[in-house]
Amino acid sequence: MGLTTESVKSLFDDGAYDYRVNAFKEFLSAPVRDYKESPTTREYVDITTQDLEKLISPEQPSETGNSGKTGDCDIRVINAGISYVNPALEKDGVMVNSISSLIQENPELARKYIFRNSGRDRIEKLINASWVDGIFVMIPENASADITLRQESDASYSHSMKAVFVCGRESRCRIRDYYGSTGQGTAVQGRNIYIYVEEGSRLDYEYVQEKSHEVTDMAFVRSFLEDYAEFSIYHVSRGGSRVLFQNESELNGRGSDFRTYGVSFSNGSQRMDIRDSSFQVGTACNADIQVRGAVSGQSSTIHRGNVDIEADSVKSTGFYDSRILLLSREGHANSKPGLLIKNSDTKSKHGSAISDVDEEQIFYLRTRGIDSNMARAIVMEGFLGSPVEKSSDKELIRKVQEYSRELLQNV
Amino acid sequence: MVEIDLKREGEIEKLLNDLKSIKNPDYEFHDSLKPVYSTGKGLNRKVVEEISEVKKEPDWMRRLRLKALEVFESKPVPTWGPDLSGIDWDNTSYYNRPDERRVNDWEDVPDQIKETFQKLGIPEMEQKYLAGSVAQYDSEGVYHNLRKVWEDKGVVFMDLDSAVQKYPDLVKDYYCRAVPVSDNKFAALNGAAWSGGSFLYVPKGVQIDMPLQTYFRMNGEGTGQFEHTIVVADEGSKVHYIEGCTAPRYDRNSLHSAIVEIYVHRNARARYTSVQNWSKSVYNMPTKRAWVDANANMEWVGGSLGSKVTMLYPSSYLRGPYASASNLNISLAGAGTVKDTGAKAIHLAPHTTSKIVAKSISIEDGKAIYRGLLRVNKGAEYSKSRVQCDALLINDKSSSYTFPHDEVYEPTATFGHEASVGRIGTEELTYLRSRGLTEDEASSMIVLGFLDDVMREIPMEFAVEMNRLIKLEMSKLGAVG
Repeated sequence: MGLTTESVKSLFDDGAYDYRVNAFKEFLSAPVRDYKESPTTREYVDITTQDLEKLISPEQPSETGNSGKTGDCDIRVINAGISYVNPALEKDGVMVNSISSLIQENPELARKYIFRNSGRDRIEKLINASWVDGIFVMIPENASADITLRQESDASYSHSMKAVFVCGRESRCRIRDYYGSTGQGTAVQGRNIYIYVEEGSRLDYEYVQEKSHEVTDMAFVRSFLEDYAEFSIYHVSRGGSRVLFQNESELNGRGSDFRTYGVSFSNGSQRMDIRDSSFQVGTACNADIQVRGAVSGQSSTIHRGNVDIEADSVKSTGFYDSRILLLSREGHANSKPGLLIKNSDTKSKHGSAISDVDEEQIFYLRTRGIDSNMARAIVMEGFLGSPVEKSSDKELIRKVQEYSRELLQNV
Repeated sequence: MVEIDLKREGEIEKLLNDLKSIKNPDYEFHDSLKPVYSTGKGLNRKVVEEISEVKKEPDWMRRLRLKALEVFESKPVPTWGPDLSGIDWDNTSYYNRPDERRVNDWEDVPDQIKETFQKLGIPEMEQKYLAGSVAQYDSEGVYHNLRKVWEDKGVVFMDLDSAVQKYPDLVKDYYCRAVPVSDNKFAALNGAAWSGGSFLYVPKGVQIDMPLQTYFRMNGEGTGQFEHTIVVADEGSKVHYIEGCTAPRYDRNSLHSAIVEIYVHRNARARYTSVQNWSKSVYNMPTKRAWVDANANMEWVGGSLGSKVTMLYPSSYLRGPYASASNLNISLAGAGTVKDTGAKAIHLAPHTTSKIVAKSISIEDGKAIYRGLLRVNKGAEYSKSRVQCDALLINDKSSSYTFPHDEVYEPTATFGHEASVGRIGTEELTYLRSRGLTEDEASSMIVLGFLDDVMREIPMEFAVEMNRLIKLEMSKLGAVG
């Protein structure tokens, strides 16, 4: 790879230089993550060195996107730069800033939240070395906020960015994060999203990835949960030619609670690697991960993730459940759930299943007078929609229903 | 098949009394017997040629050994699993012949070796329960016998070395087909240094109603045992083959790297039961694989009790329509040991089914790992598979890891996987104690109940041995007895 610590300096000589160089050094020494699953390390989404070189050598974007649109969101980010912030957020005490200006204007906050963590995954570390810019959102203590964020990137603009969300103590928040593309192109894009859920606070985070089908997308959502913090993530992956999505929560606090409800739709020749993991350190913490997927066309999807309960995390529980509908003869579906349990005072389970739509359920509906296609649609919608039904957000449920119908038409 | 009914009145009391009488592991004694021939320490081309020459092997086998050596030398030690740095490759003795003779009457076995097998109860077991038996001591089979009734029906059962001499064409048809030496480093090692193991051929339509057994004993310090076993169940036949193994405990580590190949032809049924009780100085790295043809059935039943480190994943390749396989395994990870075990099922044909049930218990700082592969290939229509792995952690320091790997390429297939890790539940304990059992008795009952669905498939003699060993491990903690 052409990048060196010197070239990192020449490319990104900003206030985050030390952090970037450190992350880059870690990237160079980090092994390719193998999840300890097989004799040979196998990547299910083939990310090449050339892809990584594209990711860290950003060129100028050709599209400016919908920078003028404001009505459908509270924050709009175009190609890593903030183009709109709803003034009402400021009134509610929510701090919204670009990462570059936060580093200049508030080094203390930057040290606390931006430079605190360089990631655990190899590619995540590389994004931490090479991000162009990003967004910092901080919800104050004892506040409540409901924020819609639209993040759009030019599909021909390879780059990486960062997003950091802080949910202050005892606050109640919801963040809807719609992540899409503008224009056409085969860019390689990366995004690290770090979420700090502080003591006693609760955050519902919705991540909807609807990028152009030619873009390679790598996103790492890492959450840090303090004492009695609650974090629920609803993630939907639909776009991208090669998609690497990783959602990992570090449950450091006592009694913290992490819930994941995910859905992935792969079609055509898409390749998706959806990873959901918990790393449980605090006592009596809980992780509950439920992921559903649908595979059609010649696409492939792998669901994998670990429930990792450390030695001190006594009285904790961890559950992982993955189910994939394999809807075509040319499609591939894999699952690799893992349990890493290092103390005896815990309960943990995982389960996974891969199959086509259950014929018995279709038969049941047909005996009630529903035709075959409609029965299939109902079963599929029910299956794929079940995780996000836990959300009170009707827009999210509607989107998943829409994607399910779209998929059924292709099948 | 004998079932163990743990609920029987007085059963717990009896087992606890048994336990109290156990002071030391029964199988860790060792003999002062010196091998009559040894290639010394280390493995190289000269040693491999020497092994082949001593055995007076045909040239094709010598060439296969040398090819395997090349593969062995070219492959790195796997790093994706447990730590294998304790294997002292250069100081291991790869071939030790205990005696010049190979006999089929216990009376002709040298006294010291016979005594060892008598202590292990092998001749008695053969008389009572078995259709045939092979006994291997260090690198060579020292005894083999098959009841005449089965010999008359064309069954072949002997150590593989004898079979290479006596039935070379038959051996050639099956040797290293299911497990090629290029499969992994330890299979290659076996291909280069193999000695002993069994060859069992059951002709078409012959159904053997009693099990056949091979017992492996590793006596020397810092030695290796590399047996190669081939079981062939021809069309419409039925066979149950059992393997047991023990070794004394030494300060220097020993290495066991076996290959087991099982061929279950059309409409045949084969069951392979193994109870591994190597001592805690043995690295146990076998490769076991079955090819299962149309409408045939393969059953793996295993108990991994001993050894320092075990890496074992018996595999079933379901090659013909309606082929089926089941894999039941118990792992006991005692103090200071790692059990990296699991199973693989590869569905290659339509309507094939597989079931994997794995149970593990971790005691003290023992580490139990389940690692498995389930693969349904395109075209294996309407195949079904179910995987269940449960782990029980006894102490705070115990740990358990589960790494299943499931790949499905066929939309009409149905596959389900479940795993759980937990400890003995307070509610269960409270319930049993409210019925008058002490805490230790209740714990013991729960542990044995946890293993019951696998244990009931294991032959009586081995199930009793496993019960005792599990209880012994637990008694060291004061949990039982």
